[in-house]
Amino acid sequence: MTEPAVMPLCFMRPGDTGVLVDVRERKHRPEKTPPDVPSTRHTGRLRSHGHGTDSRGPVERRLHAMGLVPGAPVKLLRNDTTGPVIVAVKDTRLAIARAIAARIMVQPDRTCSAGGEAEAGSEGR
Amino acid sequence: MSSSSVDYVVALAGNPNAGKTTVFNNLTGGRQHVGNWPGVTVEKKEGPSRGGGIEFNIVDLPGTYSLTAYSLEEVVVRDFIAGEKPDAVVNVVDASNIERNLYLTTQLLELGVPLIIALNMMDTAEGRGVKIDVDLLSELLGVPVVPMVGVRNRGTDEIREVIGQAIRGEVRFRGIQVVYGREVEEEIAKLAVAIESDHPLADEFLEKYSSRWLAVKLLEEDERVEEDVERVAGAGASVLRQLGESRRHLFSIFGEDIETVIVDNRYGFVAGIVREAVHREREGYESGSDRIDNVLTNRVLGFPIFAFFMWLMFFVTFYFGKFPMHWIDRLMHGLATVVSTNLTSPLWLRSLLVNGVIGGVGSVLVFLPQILIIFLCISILEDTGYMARAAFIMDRIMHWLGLHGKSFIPMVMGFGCNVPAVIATRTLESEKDRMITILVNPLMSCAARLPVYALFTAAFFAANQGTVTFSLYLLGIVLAVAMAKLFRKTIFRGESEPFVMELPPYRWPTAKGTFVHMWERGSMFLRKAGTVILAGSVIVWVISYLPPGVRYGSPSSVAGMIGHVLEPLVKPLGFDWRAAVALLFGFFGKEIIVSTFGTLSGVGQSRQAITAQLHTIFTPLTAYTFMAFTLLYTPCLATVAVIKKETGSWKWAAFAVGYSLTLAWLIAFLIYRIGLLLGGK
Repeated sequence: MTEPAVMPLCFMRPGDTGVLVDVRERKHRPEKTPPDVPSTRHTGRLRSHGHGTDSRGPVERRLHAMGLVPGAPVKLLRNDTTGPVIVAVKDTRLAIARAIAARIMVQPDRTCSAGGEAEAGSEGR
Repeated sequence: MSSSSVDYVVALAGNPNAGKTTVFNNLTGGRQHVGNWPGVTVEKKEGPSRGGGIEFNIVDLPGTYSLTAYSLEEVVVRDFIAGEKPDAVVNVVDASNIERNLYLTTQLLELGVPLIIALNMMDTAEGRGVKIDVDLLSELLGVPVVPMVGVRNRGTDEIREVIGQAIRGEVRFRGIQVVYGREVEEEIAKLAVAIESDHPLADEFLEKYSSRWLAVKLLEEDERVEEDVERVAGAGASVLRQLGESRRHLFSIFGEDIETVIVDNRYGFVAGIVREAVHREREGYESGSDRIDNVLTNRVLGFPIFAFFMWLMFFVTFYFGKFPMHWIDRLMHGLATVVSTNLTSPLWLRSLLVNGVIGGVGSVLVFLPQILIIFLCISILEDTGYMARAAFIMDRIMHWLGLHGKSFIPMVMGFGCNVPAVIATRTLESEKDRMITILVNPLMSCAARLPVYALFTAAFFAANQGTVTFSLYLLGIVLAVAMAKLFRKTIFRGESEPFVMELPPYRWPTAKGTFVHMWERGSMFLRKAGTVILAGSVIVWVISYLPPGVRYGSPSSVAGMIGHVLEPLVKPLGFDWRAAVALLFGFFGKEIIVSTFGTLSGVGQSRQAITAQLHTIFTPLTAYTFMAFTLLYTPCLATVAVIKKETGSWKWAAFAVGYSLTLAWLIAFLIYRIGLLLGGK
């Protein structure tokens, strides 16, 4: 039996558990630029607008500060196909907009049944 | 003397929902807000306290998760701690969520401040089978740790004592800091040297920050620090060259952002401490909160339950508010009778007291019970933690408006008062989302508009008072929605920023906490009644009484003259000069509209008398038009001031006034004209 594939948080089902792998960057962002001398970064004063050349945006920073870091065990509590998801991270419950949940990559636990189903589903395709 | 000893400053920092405000209240004994949704402590609060024989001032800093330059709150906390150099910083840590909370602690330690950990919510942690070795934790962090249960006021004396000792210099702070690994530490050291040898930079910053802290922040790509360094050192400075080199070097080693490496190290440090000092008796519990959430945030049930709570809030407000209102009304009536029968001369003084003061202030005071009840309901929504769930439930609907669920919390708070609601928008990350939420917030019917609705519906729509009042709340909501959409399509184009929001565990609100919370906000109305409304009533009385000899409140009085100047503006809406005067003064607070009619009519003794007077001014149709106009036209003075403060510009405050005046006029015009066409009077 292989490890279940890494999947975005928003594809998990309520009750699924896993370990956070990474937070992907926003799709419409420019390609990741290697860290450069900072004088090229004058312009991007407010990162929230998403077109700075910085490598990490405010969303990632906030996720970090709230405990969503690589290696953190997560459990999905609510996922209603639209709208935000609710996830348990450590002792906190977070409501996360779907757009962000789609960027949070999770390695589902092999033991959990729903994760197994998802795996079976992907094999069936 | 005592005045000089209060020079000591102690700052209170911590995560949102860590119980910081409760600890603050315990320490100061003051009446402060106890909330339960993220970002509730949004203003700087101060209060005196004492411990170990020393008096000190406690400053309650905004709740933050970290000390990056990510949000306004984080910058406020950082600047305060670095700039004001408080004598001690108390870090309130939620023991039941210790790992996440200690992340902030690592950053406070990095600032090199005398830190004291208030390990709050020990009872919740114990209830979840989490055992914390407090002495070991203190040893590992190198700072004092005081276990507490804020809601039971446990640990307050102990922490006072420790703060006192810290101020007296009797506590040894070792402040263990995160070590970032050899490669990163080497670059930090190089950068620190470059900072120290750059004179303008060293002179400007090293008094506030350590060179190590600045170096870490530069590596973390902290835009504030980077800008400051660039500004002071100049674009080509050796510090910035070193930074570029360090970043490239570390990127080549780790293959990922340095920021991530730094964050990982901090969490690693925290995880190490937690492994040592925290023991869990059971893993993977499902908390009671999760079970409640299964129902309350349920896809099918969530919305009906929420709608029911909203209905209940208004039902309780209107139904239970009636009884005490009746008593206050009788009291005012009695007071007016006593004054007018016993005080015979001078005549003008009797008129001032009966018409101006009792008539004006009394007509507003009558509504205090309803105002208090609505604040009580909002406090309960917040203090239980339900408000964050309401935001979750409403997200889909709000999304359609181009906003998201978090914007919903200020909207509900707007039913109480728009001023705290506008301040509450600070939790919104995106500037555009925040601006839209601020601008449409005054369209939510606040408690100050309630007296106007209540007076007019009682006078003109006694049979279906509830329905008419409801229609006005609905009108405000519908227009807020429409304006939000319009602003999103025009001034603030773009998508709403996706959000992350903490759902705090459900808590039983303590009776004391909730009533204190209600009273804080409700008493604002009492104070308003004693100041702005009293002043407004007296002014209205004066201009109705002058020039000497005219009949009180007649068209030839000063009030009449002002009213007649303004009358052409409101004539197309079916209002006369008296309505114009009331609306003019209503800008100072919408309750003043009611008190103005009380004063202006010169019959300020009872609501029946005002009601009779209103029938000479309005028809049912113009009464409804007037209520709609009152709802929509310009935010009150206090709201305009807070909009200016929060947006940082008079331009937006002026815009809020301008657009709402225009909107009010257009809507009132439509209501009046369509009403006339339909045969209304």
